Amino acid sequence: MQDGPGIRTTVFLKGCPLHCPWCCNPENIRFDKQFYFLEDICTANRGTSILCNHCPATDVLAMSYPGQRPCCPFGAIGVYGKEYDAQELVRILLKDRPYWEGGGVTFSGGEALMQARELLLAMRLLKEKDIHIAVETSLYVQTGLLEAVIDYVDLFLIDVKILDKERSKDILDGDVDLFYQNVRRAAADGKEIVFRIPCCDEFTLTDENLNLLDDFFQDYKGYSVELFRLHTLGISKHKSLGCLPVSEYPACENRMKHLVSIIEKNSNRVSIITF
Amino acid sequence: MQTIVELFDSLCHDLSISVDDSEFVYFIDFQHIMDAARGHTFSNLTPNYRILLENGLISLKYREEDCTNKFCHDYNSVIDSLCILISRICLELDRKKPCNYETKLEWFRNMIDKPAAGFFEAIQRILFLNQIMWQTNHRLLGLGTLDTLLDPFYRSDTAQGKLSKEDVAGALQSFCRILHQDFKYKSNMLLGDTGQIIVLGKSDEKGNYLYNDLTILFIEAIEKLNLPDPKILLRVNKNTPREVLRSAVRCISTGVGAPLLANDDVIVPQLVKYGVPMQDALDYTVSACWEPLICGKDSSLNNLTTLNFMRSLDNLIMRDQLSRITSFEDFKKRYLKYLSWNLNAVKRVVGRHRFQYDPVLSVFMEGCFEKRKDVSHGGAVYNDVGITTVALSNTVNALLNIKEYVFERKLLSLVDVKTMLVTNFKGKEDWIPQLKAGDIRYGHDEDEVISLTNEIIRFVTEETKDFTTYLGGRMKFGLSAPSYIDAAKVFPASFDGRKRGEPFHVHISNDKAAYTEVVNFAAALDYGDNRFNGNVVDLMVTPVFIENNFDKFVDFVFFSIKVGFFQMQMNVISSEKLIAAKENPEAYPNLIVRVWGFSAYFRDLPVEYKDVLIERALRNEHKVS
Repeated sequence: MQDGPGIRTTVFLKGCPLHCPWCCNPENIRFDKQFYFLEDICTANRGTSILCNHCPATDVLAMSYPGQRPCCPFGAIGVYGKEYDAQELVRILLKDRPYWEGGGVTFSGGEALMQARELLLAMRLLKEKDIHIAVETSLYVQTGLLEAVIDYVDLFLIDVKILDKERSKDILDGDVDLFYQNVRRAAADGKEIVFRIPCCDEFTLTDENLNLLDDFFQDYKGYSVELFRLHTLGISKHKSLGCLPVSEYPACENRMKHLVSIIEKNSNRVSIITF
Repeated sequence: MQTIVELFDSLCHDLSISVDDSEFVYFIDFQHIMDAARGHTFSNLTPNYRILLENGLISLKYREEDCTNKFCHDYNSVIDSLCILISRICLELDRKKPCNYETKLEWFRNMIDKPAAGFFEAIQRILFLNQIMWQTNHRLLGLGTLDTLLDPFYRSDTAQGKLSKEDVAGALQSFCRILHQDFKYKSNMLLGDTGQIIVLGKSDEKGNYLYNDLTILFIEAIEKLNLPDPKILLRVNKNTPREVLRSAVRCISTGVGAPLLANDDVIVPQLVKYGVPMQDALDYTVSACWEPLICGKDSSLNNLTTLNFMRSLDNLIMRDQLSRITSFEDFKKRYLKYLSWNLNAVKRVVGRHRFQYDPVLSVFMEGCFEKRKDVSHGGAVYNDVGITTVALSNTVNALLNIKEYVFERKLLSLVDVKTMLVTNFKGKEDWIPQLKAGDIRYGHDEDEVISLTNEIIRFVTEETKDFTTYLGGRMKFGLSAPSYIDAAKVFPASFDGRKRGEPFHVHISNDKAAYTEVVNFAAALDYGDNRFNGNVVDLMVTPVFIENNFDKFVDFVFFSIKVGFFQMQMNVISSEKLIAAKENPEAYPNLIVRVWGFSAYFRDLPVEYKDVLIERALRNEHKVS
């Protein structure tokens, strides 16, 4: 529900250039469709269907889609990802239109802007109907992708993560210069922006990063900033992909307070949100 | 054998009177519940409290020269007996001198020959009439539109400085506590099923929303008391202020299961189209749970029996020449044929129903005095009947499965389907999850499922529209399904993936679908003609979801009203808490949940009801598929 103002319908897009250690949407990191495997359901039903003899079980996770099409009658095997063409997507989205007074559509991910060109038509169709469009993004994308859709976007919800170039490359596998460049581009366009900081002592609340955040917000005064503690809501999705669950990444109260004071000092409005 | 009137007179002479230091006088003598057992006692309705608020009892009587039939004499006798009971209560108050007895004495003396004079006195009269109805074995008794009824007294007393808002808040809490105290006796089939529903808020002819201080004060009283009973229903429309909705959502978020929301923008037009004059339609309340009823003028028994949509499908699969059915259209036609036969059985049950002569209720039912007729002879202004239905969701899903697997993908024959159902899916358990899955199911806002559902319910209208009862009443039905467990207990497996004995789905619900999707689906159903006998969307919500998104949830309710749900109720609770409360009931003695159309203590529910709630909560939280 933390996806912008009012009641919104959110489209989660597959594919992300980053690999944040705390990611809660691991099913949206890869660009292609992928199988998932729910071990609990399999264990409860294993052997009771004739199909079980031919089932790859957990090996399905190593298979590529759509090379093979194993199916489980109990729903232990399934697929993350579904393709829609723009018209079909907009038709489905518009069913929720009566709820959007003050709200609208949010594109999230993964990294929504990685599919910016594919989204263009859907956004245009929505804009023709005067629908408010928000994009949740890390902005670690080629600027051309941002520019492709910037005219249609009313609100950017921009994650601000690790701002040191080396650590950003090392931990997130992303080029922070792209981020800086894209923030400048979005701000120059006068777009409404809400910055969001995922908070944890280990990565984003280090002394060094707090200093970099201070520098950053001196350049971007007057914007809304939302802080949130990292959560483990994605744990079952990690498990379904055969990955180890993400660790817990705590954020100590004092460092959070320090970050709040940094942001407020730069005349930004700050709030702490929960998922 | 004593006549009803004689029985009632003996009752008024004999029943034990108990008065104590409570704020109001209220007692039911369980040793003297009147039971004449000469037909079915009226129940599931709301007597006309307004009659007693606006009149002294004596003024309700026929003049001697106007007593032209037996009913008029019986009617007058009932009032005489009530006056005797009141005089006995006065004597007892005078003898025992409980707290504030002089005021209470005045309230009761006034009841003989004066209209109610103040807010507290009005509450006492509502309690007295309610008590009389219970004492005479009427059950599932509503309280009516109390914020509207009490508002003139509230305004007059507060304007004169006799009352503060705090006094009123306290009195409303006492009122609710008193009504709750005998809830075990008052409960019908399940503990908590008392029918004690207070209706709040209303619309005017132009669609403006009407509410007052008492609307909010009642909601706040229910929120503070945390009792499952009495319950509240809040009428809403698209102009309902956010302040009222916020108050309602705050109350709902405590988990108390109330208020149920009823959408005037959908309900009032349906009542008018059905032939109810606008002024009466605007005054609707509901029977014990959801079924719209015209307050104080309507003796309709709205839950007389239940139509099980799945019975017809089971009959078809078990009895028909399946090999002759070659297309889904044929199959659907055969289904509707069996449905019409089942409806004939329902009509026989309804047609045989006779009510007991009831001059006590007739005194407090508008229309009887004017027509000089008892309610059991059609005295009330409205005398329709209503039935509930069950398993529409399962039936629609089963039909969609048959369409897909038999006629489109041709993976099964109808005989294969029959074999699966007869054997309770033995050796074919792997089909169950497939049959339960799917994106086009009851509760999804997909054209195919909406049109199939509407086709079935419109067919029921075609088959019932010409039916009349011995009182000339018509038959209504709705899609709220209170018997989703009882009707399913011995029912064979069904092709929606339900095994023998497993419960049917609850009301209009789909715990896997988004809330907006379920509301969109419900709003697309056709509640016209006689299809308005309660159509409640039932949602499971986690407390943390509302807590983190309170304003957005209020928005959701607001926009859902505009989209056009008929009625909506919610259980705000987590699966974790329900599981813990099932395992360790002593640790959760006051945990309240919403069941059917009422709230109940979780500890009091039979285990199968607990299991349904737990499973639904788990599904809502995506912890099971």
